[in-house]
Amino acid sequence: MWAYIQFNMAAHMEYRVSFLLQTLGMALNNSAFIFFWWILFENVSRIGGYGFKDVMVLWSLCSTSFGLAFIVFGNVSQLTRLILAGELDSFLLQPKDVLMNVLCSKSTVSAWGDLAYGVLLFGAIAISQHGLVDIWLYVGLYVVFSLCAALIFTSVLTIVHTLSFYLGDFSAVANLVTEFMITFSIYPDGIFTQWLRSLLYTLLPIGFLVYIPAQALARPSFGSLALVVGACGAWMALAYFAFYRGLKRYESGNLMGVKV
Amino acid sequence: MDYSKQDKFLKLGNYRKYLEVMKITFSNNIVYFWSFLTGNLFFVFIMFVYLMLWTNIYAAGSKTLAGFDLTSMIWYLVVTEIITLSRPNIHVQISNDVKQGDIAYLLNKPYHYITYNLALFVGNFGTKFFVNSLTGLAIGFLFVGQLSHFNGGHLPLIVASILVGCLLNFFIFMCLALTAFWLEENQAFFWIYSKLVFTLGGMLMPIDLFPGWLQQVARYLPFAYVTYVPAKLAVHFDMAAFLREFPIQVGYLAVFAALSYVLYAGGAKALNVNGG
Repeated sequence: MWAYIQFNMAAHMEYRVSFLLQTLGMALNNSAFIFFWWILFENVSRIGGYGFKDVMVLWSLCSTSFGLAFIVFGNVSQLTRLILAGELDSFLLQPKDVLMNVLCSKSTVSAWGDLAYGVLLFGAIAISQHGLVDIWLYVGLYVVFSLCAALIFTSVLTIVHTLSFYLGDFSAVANLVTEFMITFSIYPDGIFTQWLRSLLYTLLPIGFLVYIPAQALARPSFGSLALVVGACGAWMALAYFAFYRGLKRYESGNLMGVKV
Repeated sequence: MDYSKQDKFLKLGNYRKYLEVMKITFSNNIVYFWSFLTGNLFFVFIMFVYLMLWTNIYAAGSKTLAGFDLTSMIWYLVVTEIITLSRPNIHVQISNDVKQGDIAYLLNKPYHYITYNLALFVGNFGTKFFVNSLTGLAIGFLFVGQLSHFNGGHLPLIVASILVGCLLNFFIFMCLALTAFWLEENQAFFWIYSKLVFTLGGMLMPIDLFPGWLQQVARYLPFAYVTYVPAKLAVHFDMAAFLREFPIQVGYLAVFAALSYVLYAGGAKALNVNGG
């Protein structure tokens, strides 16, 4: 995985100006929503039980984890195409874990902008809320939660794409699931109805991605940490099981090509 | 041969070819009507999230915010989303034509490149706008019901403002796309402009909610004339506001349309394409 990260980074650095423009552009793109929430909180004091800083914590966690997921596992969005076009062949021949190999073999440039934005936003929140004494616990929790969220996010997308082994082109549904996960992650759960909230802790695990971590960052608890790490392990296991189960139905392509 | 008649015919022919491009593009798109309609799931979803957000905001505080109640706020957002989602991504093609050198093959075609793309835009936009409007109306009626005090007699003026907003959006994107003549990478400009429409353009919320000083700034900028002005007219129509703001909208449209023709002329002169 580390080798892939280094390799992908070196590839991005070939076009430095483009890389910087896309990174800065994406960070600026995300920051437009600070303006949106700032104006809203100028008009009302709390929304769904959240204040301005609480919503910024949601944004920070979502942006960091989404960025991490698409930097490290950037090929997850291409999984359906690889399955349907029979392009998994070259990965099957290599002496490495197939799923990990496929997911890590590509990285999304603009995801660096998401990561940078998430980290900077978190830094601003952390400094404004904490003294330097207890900031390390806050930062430590943030790092663990962001890593778990990136893994849960990738796992959910992997499972949806894996359905392409059985049902054909599932990329439209996968894109919609991506939109759902991002959009729900950046709004307070308190605005949603009860039945929708129960969905956000089960079928779409947004609760474990951002809501529980945000609460745990405000009031650190071992229980919340264990819950998020446990959910992360369960979703990863499910993604591995779904992918390898589906792989048995994979039909190789007859496309001739060179992979360097 | 009466040459004045021939000239007249040629001029008519000039416009007719763009009309044909428009019609062909529209016909091509109408084939995918159902695909467009099912592709509107995101529109329904994002409006549902807005409904949840604003219902919560209104439940916690007063019944109106800056003159908008929940019903007018949701209808306002329906209109801004229709304008934004109906925009075809022709600017991406224009930008790529310039960057990849394909424009060299388009320069000698018997049409003006900008007018040709405008015809493509109108053809594409027509279908999207129709489908999005149907979806938007369904969303509005299902989520919050009829807009109170809405007068159907104002509809032609509201639609005119919406269409000018969409055209203004197209020409601003066109100007940004044409910067590819001088810059290697211009993708970030599209992102930044989109976010200016999101925020100062009042796409995500009416600019009436902004602090006073920011409202004054936003009202002078072109972004508000893309989304805020047509959407505000749609939910709170006021003839005095229409007579004040519609000419400014048309003025901005003329400025950006002229700028795109000037940029194209300058860029085409400076164009240097390698290879064959």
